[in-house]
Amino acid sequence: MSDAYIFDAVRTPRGKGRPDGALHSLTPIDLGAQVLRALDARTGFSKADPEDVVFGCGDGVNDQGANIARSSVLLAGLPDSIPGSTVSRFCSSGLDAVNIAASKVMSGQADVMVAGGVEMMSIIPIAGTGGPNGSDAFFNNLSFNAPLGIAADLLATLRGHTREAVDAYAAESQARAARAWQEDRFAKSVCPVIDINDDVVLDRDEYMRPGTSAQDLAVLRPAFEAFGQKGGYEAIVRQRYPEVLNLSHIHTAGNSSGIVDGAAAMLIGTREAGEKLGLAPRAVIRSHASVAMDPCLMLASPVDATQRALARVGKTLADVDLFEVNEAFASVVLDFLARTGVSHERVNVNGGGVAMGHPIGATGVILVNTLIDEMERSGATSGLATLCVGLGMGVATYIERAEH
Amino acid sequence: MIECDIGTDGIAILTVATPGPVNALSRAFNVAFDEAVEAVLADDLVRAVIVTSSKNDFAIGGDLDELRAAMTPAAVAQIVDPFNAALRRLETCGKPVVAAMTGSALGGGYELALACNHRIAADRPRAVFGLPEAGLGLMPGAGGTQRLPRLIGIAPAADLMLRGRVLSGADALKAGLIDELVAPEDLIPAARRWLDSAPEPTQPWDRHGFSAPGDDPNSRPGRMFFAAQWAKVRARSAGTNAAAMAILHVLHHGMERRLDPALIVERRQFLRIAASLEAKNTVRSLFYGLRAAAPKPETAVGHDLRKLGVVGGGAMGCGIAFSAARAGYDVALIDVSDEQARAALARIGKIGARQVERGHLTHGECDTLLARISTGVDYAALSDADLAVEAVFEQPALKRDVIARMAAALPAGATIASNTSTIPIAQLARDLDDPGRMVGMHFFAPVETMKLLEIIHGPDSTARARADAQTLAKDLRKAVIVVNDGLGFYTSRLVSSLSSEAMTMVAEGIAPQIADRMMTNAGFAIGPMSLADLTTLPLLRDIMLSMSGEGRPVSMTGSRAVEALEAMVAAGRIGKASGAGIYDYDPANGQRLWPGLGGLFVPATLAPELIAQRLLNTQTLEAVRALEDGTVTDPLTADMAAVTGWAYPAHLGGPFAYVDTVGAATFVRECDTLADRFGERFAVPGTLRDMARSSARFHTI
Repeated sequence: MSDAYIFDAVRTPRGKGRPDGALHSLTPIDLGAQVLRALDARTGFSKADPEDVVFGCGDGVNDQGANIARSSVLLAGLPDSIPGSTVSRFCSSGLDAVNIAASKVMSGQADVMVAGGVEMMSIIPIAGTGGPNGSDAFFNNLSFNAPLGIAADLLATLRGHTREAVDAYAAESQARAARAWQEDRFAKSVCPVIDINDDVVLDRDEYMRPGTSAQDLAVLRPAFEAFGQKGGYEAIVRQRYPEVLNLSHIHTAGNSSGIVDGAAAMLIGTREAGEKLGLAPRAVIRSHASVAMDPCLMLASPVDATQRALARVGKTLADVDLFEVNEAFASVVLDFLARTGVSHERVNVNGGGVAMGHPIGATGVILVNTLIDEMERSGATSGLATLCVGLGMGVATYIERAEH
Repeated sequence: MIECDIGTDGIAILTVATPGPVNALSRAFNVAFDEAVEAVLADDLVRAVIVTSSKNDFAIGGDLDELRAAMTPAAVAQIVDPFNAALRRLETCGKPVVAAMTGSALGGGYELALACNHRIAADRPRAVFGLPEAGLGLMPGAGGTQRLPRLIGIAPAADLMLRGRVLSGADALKAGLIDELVAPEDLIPAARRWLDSAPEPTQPWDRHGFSAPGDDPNSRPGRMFFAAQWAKVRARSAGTNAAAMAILHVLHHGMERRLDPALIVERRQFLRIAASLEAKNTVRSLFYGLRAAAPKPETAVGHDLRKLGVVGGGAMGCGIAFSAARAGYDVALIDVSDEQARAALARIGKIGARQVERGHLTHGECDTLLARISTGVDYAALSDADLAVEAVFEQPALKRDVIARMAAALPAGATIASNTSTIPIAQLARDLDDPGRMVGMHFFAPVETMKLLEIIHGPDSTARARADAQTLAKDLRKAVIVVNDGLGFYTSRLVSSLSSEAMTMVAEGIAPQIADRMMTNAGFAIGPMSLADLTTLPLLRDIMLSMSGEGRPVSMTGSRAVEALEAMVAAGRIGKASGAGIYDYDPANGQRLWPGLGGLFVPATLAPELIAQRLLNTQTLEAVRALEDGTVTDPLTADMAAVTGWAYPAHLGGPFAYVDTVGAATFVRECDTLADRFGERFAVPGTLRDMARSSARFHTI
């Protein structure tokens, strides 16, 4: 079995996923093409006969449909000979792209792979694909179809999280993201987005609100209360969790992940393939895992995914220096911290989705990318990225610094 | 079954004429219809078809006797397949077909009209149109779920079908269910006029490029509609409304397809739903049970009732007075003071105003009926009453005192009815010279809207008293369950068993919200803990005390209800109205857990399944004991009473049908385990043990 090395990675800054967001007037293939071009400019991967470009995309329909990976390759002006494929598992799509690329390399079926992801939530909303989840009555009966925000409030209720705790977490995410930008910690990864006239459209994460305090967050209205009560979803999750009388509606726009546009790409391959391109490996992918649980509560899987990925290579939580746990909602990370006992000091050290946004299909790639940057900056040797996933799933990837 | 008349003008008139007072579409009709359609279509002389009826209704749907007897999907298919095939052939035959509806077209009757190219209805005041199947736990199965949304759009069709709502002629015209509303005598001429207008002899949904009005299920708004509808149904009914879920499913997936495959989608779900135990239970209790519960006045022994006396101007007395006046009675209502009497009149006025607001009465009708009611303090007003109902507080001594005054004031022998919920009639009648004139009439609140009435025969109740109670029940349009005397009779005895078990759980420290949820998950509209808070805890304590007295039912053995309620009342817990009951309540946040509950009773856990079993099985055990001791004699009306009286889930049928639903052997096994763990109130009556051995059922169908 070969080792799967990560040689480099880039991402776009994240634009607000709204009509006034800086990236909104571009298209998903624009973003996909730009990260591929940027990665190629830095690594020259297109000359190494890459086996495949795998893109994660949460909602691969309309402008994100019909294989956004291959379309992005072509728009990027890369050789016709480079194929593309997509993977979709809601929030972990990007991390699944990384894991699939790594698996191909590890199994000897590829020497050079690109893993990436793209999501323009400003044009394709969450669940824009449709699917049985939501509109099929029989399926909903099985899954207790709780919308994500209701599931987050349910998790908070069952774990006893308070509004103060989630807001404090969110304020810390903002502070960490602001510090990271101040200290240029993302400089290795972020490449400005330009338009067809080479005008810079965005060069900095747009969603952040540096200086946000817990007090600022405390005044925000619960985002899912009216939905839960008038829409009937609160009554429905009570049917599944009879011990819950009242949902703690503590999640707001301020302590949930931001709706944003963004893309990312990462070069993965064998050590030999890197040598041919003159690239030194930055990290090695040791293991990855996917798990699933009750689709109603849905968001508590990162712990199990983490444990399964570590167990696969005989590691424990103590062996991991740094964690990136996707900040889908503040409660997801609080649950991870409480149940693993891992110190917040080792988790999401440069902020996360609450501060900077969660461009569904790209996020997994960004988490691994952020992990590598921070491992290099801090001298850490190991890291793990994990996300909670719709319908009760979880995915994790464990990496270590590459030895030179 | 169906008459076919082919005119010289080439117009075939198919006339639905089934045996019986209304046109119900039976298996035999379906076959005859299939053959008639075949004959008409094969006849080259026929250029157009009118479908009409020999009666004042067009057709009021499938034959329930046959449908309920179909125990498997295949058996259901045998009934409906010929009809559905004929409908499809009719609408694709290339000859224009018009439905000339002489009156109501419901269910399969309306689906027949939907398969015609044009729908004309005779304008009759009581005629209604639509697909009411969901009201009996069923769904449309003759193309209705597919043709109606193609006609009017998914959202309006879903609204009608999910609620089983039927529309008057005018409303049906507005909603697009019918195309023309004409005077009854103009029906056939109107049909001929339409045929003469050179109509397109195809259905819109069979034409090239057809798209249904409204949102496509695969558009974002379409998907969001289904997501929201599911949540609405699910939030209200937990998992218990299988028919509504099936309707949503077939609307979604049928509307993504052309009509022929869409009809397969509908058929598959209809066969399953129609053969399901849940539908059988609902149909039995809400159709056959209600039919069996129609009052049976025996005019030979009963007296002509024109004037009703009511004593007690509380919610029950006022509701009874209002309902009687509405039925045409003159009413004299007596209370203890002029002030109370005036308050009663005001209360009755409010009931009237609410009925007017809801469109059940006009202002004029309301004023007329209120004018029939007098209130006062003098029992002399009863001197010309034909029957009087006592509706004072549930205290035996007070009731006996009032009954003595009534007996003195009423004409000799006139029937005295007690609106008591628990006190045996024999006890109330014991001081009367003529105890046989007493009968129990246990009304349910609010009287003006609740269908159920429990008539209690005391040991001495005369034929006249019994007949008078039936006559009043008929005039008030009640469904009656007739029971024999005893503490709590039937309904209160069973409701008390539920409350007692729930309050015992409170004493055991079981989380009240879990008990509530297990019952709402089973299909109850409200859980027993929340219901206790609505009843108020002091009142429930009094009821539990009274039900623990002499003649107490077995379900009270080992009950800790009084203990729990005493402790909560002592802690100042009253109920929802005071904001402090088993739960806390506040206007902003609604129901909340009361943190003090754990201080009164040490919290304990019990598997939710066992909580549900205790609460459901105690009702059934008490029902079976009531059957064994002769309090009730008929499981059918007893089940109906549970569904209409305390909102027992219709899909479970009722406490007797529950045994059939889970199986007697399983039920007995559960109770044996419960008896070991929670005491002898779960001891299995002999009847049930015998049934478990022989796999017997309370209801054969």
